[in-house]
Amino acid sequence: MDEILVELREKYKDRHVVVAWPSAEHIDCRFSDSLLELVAQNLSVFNLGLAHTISSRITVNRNQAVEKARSLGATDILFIDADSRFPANGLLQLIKHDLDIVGATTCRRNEERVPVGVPMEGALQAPLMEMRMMGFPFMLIKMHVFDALQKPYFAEPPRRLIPAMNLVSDEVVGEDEYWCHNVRAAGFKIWCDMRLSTEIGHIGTDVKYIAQEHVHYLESVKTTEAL
Amino acid sequence: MSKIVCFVPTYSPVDEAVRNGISTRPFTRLPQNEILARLQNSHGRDKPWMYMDAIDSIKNVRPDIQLVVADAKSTESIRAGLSSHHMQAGGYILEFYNDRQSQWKLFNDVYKAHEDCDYFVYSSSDVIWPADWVAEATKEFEKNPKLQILFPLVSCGDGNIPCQVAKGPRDEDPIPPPYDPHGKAPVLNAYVMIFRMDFLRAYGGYPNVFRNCFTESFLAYMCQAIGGEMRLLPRGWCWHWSLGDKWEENGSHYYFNQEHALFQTIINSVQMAQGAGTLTKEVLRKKLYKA
Repeated sequence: MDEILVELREKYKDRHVVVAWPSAEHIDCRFSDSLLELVAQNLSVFNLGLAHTISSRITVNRNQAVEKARSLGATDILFIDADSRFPANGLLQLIKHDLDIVGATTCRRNEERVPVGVPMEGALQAPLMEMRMMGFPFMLIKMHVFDALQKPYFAEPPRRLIPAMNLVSDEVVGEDEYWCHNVRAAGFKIWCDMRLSTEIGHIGTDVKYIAQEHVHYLESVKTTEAL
Repeated sequence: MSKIVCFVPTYSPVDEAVRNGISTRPFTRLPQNEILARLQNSHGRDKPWMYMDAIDSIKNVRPDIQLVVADAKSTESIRAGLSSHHMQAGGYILEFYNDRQSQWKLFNDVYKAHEDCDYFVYSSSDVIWPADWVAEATKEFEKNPKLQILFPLVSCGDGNIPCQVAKGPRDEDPIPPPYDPHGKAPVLNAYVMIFRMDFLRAYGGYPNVFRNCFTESFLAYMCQAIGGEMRLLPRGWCWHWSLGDKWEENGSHYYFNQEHALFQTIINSVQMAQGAGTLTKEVLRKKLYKA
């Protein structure tokens, strides 16, 4: 057997990762291609489980995915948004950091292609950046994090009901923002791998990636850049 | 001035040299305008005449480059044509191999014989150099010591359709023109490429585990493993006959189908090592090089 595979299997023999992709009824073939590649590559390393939760409500889907992961005895849950493109080795890129919460973000689907998320000030420890808030395009979470949170883990309450957000607004909080707020209040840090983030595409009519000017401080991500 | 060696492999099992003169040309060196005019000829891709066009274009553009043409092993009539061109046009080394062999074996023979050079250019035998893209490439190498491999753009005449951005194992999204500067192109097809010789020295030559296909999928990883970079050079252009390649055709002579499973195994392993942060030059050497 391949020695790299043997080494990785031994290293991660106690990690049971559930891959969760909440979605509505239909998903994009570009996403499913990435998902199949990731599962195919990582089945030989991890004890992988799958959790596809389907409804029109993202909060319900995410909460159900956590429960399913728990019922499967997962040590980690990898949330992947169903409009993401990602490399097959993305899970390995995240799990090697051995952090409670570490993910990769993607860009907004506009011309500027800025990263989604709000970093903490001065939080870059390349390639990791501590985040105040980030989305879930590709997010790895150790399951014990959820043990420290109240249910429902994901919700979309009105902003005015969350004093710490210090906002008077009729808008609701995004379920990812709500979760980030609560885990940080529980003492956890949220980390974003900026190098991997350059490889996470946001699927729309085409697939958009974070623009170069937003990752210029990472020399290593320039490998594939044109002159 | 930099010392540069260029390797052009020729190999054709199909005898096109006797096609009633439709695509023939003199054995003496043709000027650029005549070579470019031949690209309009629908039979201009016939061998060995196309090989002569490719060779002449390189010598016209960069007469200082040490050019090595290695053939393993085309038909006798193609070899006879190449011999005549070599005698009358001259200016390059012509090596005839007695057996059909991997072009990467030939590549490494040329590398070993010219290891004292500063740069190594690989140029397919159906690639025409319309202009001095190598001068632009060496400027970039001099500016950036990390740079190890550069790929000029390759097209078949329509500048909107570069053909060397390959489907890669990690990404199939094309680089949309006019070239997203951070386009995801970890894999570029090896129609034509230039190496800093230090890259080849670091690995002891070019990967030889595959006979013809797949090797370029590993070049970006190989660069990363030695702290280097691999880039696209949009301001460098070469012509290539046709947009696609023939590797996947039924009956292909390039061993694509025979070696595809091996490729999947190796790329999977390499990607996992890269993801886990354990990919090193030694790991790549073990995976990609035969003794």
